[in-house]
Amino acid sequence: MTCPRLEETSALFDGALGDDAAAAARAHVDGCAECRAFDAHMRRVRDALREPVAFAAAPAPRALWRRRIAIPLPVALLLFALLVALLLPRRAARETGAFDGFDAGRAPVVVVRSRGAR
Amino acid sequence: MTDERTFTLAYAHHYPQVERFLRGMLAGRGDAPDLAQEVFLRLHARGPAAAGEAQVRFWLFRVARNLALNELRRWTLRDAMRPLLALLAAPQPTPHDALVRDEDRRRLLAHLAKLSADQRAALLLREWEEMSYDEIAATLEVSVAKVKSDLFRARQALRAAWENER
Ligand SMILES: [Zn+2]
Repeated sequence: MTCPRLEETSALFDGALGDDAAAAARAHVDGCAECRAFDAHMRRVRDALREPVAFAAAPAPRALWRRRIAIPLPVALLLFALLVALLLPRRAARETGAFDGFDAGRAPVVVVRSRGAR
Repeated sequence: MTDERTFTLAYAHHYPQVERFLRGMLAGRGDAPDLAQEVFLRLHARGPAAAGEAQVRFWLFRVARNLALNELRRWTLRDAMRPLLALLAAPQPTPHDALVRDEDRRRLLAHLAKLSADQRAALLLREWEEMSYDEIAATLEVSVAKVKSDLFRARQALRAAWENER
């Protein structure tokens, strides 16, 4: 039922056989309906993979190869807690009028990025 | 450090293909651009052309394969299907005629995700990078016989999956 030379047909399709082996394999494929069908299937896979829209190569981002800073979530939470701990007393102080140097526009921003969480 | 000019050239020349390869390897899991950057960071950090210029391409794809394998280990099968759907939902202007091909592409991607990582790597290097069996074997550090058999099995698996849906 299953042709034992299918793997050879696959190698033929890839141009991976030497001249003699390729000639023999080609002769076999011509006479074997199963190998011809497999050849058509391989062609279809190739076409689908190579279709430009499907998996178009993205252009290289300009100078983007530097690492984006990724902070693991637990560390980010710790940082956030620390930030809150540092800022809260100041805010409380300002509200009582005892402190007026706080500039809300300069509050630090922490960007949290958790790998694989999307 | 790799000399900057060599690095810049390698980056401009190979980045798109490396990122595409990673997208195919991850098949919707993980962050391909992020891993692609990691690949080039490692190239940058690695000494001057330890392997010759011609080998850089193989080196890049080998590192990309290794990073993809690490990434894939972090994903369970359940997680795998979720972003795959999101990936496929990425809107593209689709003239009526393209709908059928969209469907083929969607299924192909879903099936690619089910191949073994070795099979997928061999298939993508063959079909996208048009590498010879020898080159694929060198890149993935496996025997040529394994490349031949992985490619065959990948195609067989894709056919079985494809035909099961009809
Ligand atoms: Zn046959």
